[in-house]
Amino acid sequence: MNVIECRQAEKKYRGEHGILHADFTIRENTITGVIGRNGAGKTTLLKMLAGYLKPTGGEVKVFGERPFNSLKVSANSMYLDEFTVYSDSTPIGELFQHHRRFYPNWDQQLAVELLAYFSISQKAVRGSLSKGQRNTLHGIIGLAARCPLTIFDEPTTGMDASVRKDFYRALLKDYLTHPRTILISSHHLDEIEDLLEDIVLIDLGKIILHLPVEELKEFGMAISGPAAAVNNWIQHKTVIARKEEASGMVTVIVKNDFTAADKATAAGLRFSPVSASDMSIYLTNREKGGIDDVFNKRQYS
Amino acid sequence: MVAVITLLPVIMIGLILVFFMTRNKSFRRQTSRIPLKYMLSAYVGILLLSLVTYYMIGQSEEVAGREIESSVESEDFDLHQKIFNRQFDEIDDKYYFGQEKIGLDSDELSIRFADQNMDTYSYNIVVTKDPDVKGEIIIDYYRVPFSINGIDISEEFEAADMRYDNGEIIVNNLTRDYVNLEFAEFQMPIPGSQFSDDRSNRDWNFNFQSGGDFYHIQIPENTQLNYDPNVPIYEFEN
Amino acid sequence: MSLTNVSTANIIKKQYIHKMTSYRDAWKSLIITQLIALAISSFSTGGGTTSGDFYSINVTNYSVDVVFFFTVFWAFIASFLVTTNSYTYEDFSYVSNRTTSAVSAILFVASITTIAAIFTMLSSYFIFMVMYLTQDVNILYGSNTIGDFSEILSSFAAVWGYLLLASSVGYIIGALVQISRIFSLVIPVLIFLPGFMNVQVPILTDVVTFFTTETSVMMFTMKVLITAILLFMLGWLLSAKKEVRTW
Repeated sequence: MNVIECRQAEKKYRGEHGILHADFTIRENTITGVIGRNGAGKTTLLKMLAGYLKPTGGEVKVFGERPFNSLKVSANSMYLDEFTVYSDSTPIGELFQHHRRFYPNWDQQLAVELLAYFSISQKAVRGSLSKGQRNTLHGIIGLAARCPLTIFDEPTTGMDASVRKDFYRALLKDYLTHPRTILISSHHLDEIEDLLEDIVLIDLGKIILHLPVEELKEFGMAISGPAAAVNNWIQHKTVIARKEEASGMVTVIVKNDFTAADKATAAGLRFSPVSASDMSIYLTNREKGGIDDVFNKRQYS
Repeated sequence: MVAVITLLPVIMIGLILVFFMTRNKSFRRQTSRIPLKYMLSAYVGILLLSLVTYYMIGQSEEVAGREIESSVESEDFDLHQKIFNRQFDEIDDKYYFGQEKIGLDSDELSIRFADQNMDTYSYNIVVTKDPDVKGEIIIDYYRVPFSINGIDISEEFEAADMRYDNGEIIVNNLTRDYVNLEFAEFQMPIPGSQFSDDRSNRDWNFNFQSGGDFYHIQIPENTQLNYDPNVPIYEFEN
Repeated sequence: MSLTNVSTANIIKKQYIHKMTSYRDAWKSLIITQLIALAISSFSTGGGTTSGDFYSINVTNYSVDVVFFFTVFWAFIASFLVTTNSYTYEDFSYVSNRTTSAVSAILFVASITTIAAIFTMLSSYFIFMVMYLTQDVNILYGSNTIGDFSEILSSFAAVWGYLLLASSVGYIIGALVQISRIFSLVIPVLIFLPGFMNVQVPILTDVVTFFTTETSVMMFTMKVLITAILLFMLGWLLSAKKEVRTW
């Protein structure tokens, strides 16, 4: 069963893109990563799914309903990011009680124990927490609520490395015992790669790829060698990125759709796999060269 | 009070401005660190305590004044005019406060003021020689009550005392002692006053109405009346 | 994971409980406002002195008027704030749609206003006791009591009515301001400019007299209820299309 279905969904802001032609479905009980650079439209997409924003075109359906203003979607989904609004003067223990009232699957014991593990007092008010603690709290709430659709938008902002690891581990463990549909957005894939089943890659408001992580790992190949040889070999291939190196060497990332016979013709070239995380960076590179180019141009002008 | 009301819009604008300057997520929603349940129970406790005490002590004994049964506002002048025009029949009953009859056995009557300080007299005495009156003096007493915020406090002012003695009326207390009065008043809330007639005289400001006393002395026609021309006695000509 | 089925009424109830317990600032500001007003009221809020040739009279007034006016002001601000993003967005952090959010907010405002009216009426006992204990002069007739039951009831109706009006006006203005920031400039100007420039706005005067000249408790309550319900509904409609957290 599909939990989320988007047909040409779009959300335009005044003078800005937001999300364009989003066309994808997400199956029940999967963990999907929404990956993209800052400002790619991750948050817009996720808020549209949560029913916070109203699409300006196309169709968005969550649990078979338009999420905007749907009580059913609101009751069965949860959107959490660092700005999630809770009263700053409410003690956390009470915040849990409110959630317990609203969410029938709420696991009070899990919430309390996780909170204790992350050394946050139940008596503390949310306003007194640091940014990382606040996100930890939101993460705990998202796990304990056991919502059929849980959306974490950049859940680990401000958390330190060990908390980050613990959080993702907790997420995975809880997901395994209570499978549900989870969306996690992040701009770096490497730390959540092991967690994810599927990936939605967004850039400039468009969904570039939507595929299982395993496929992304084999999506491309890096080919390095002398410039002439590489250029010759890649003539009819889909080039994703190109990196000039010193002494006439070049590395090209090519879509992994060539045959073994193709590969055999490439004498003297080195083939290496590209990690999913690197691949996502190459795919969302905006063809302006690297950051180095910005500085190179300055030097000569 | 007026200052408070003029200040309200200013405070309001101020708060709205502060609110808009600090809106959104950075807006800290915190007024006080005292836990709400303590604050709330303490406040409710104080209020209920005063409620219980109020009903335990019952009503206050030290009450001044009495209720004015009917409206007498701004009719002082009316009464004055009617008296001096000898239209006694037309005077409303609500000003009529009583009558005294004194047997008269001589042809001569003098009116004497016990107190000679003429600066602060506050009674009006009118005298009529009435052919219908035989062998007696009839004193009619009219009064406009002194009132504060619609409450009659005339009792606080001593009434004049007239004594007849051997062909002479002696008026005591005609000049009043200086009266210094202090009252406390608990007013009903101003929004509620629109439903009420009883205490509707409550004004936003202090409302005092000065009263007055009028004595109408009727004597037989043939009586010889003597009084000091300097005292405020008005005798109607026949 | 199986889906939860929810009914609108059930969610409204839960949100109402949530608001009553977690909107601490509304409660605290009510108590603080009334405490300040009580402190002012304890030192007599009016009265007057008059003197003539042979008398001087001084009356010290006590009443809950200051508490009432402060509370009206509080009701306006509190319900205005309830419509703002920082409060409405919290609903969507839990389970909500625009209808449940608005209806529970209106129920909350109406409830807390009613409680504020009860507090206002109760504070007359406090002020009375202050007068009774601190004043050793005579109390004027009629004002030696707070009033009999029917008087207290009609005063309560009036206090409650005006508080409800203030909060419904605050709510509608809040809803307007949420739609466009322009209203946050236009509305204060519309309200206060005539006062500052001494201009009588005929409609405003009519609106005020529509309520203040009503002498029947029944009619007054009807007028207030209908007006407040209309204003609240309008505010609700205005917020029906609002998006959540565009930041």
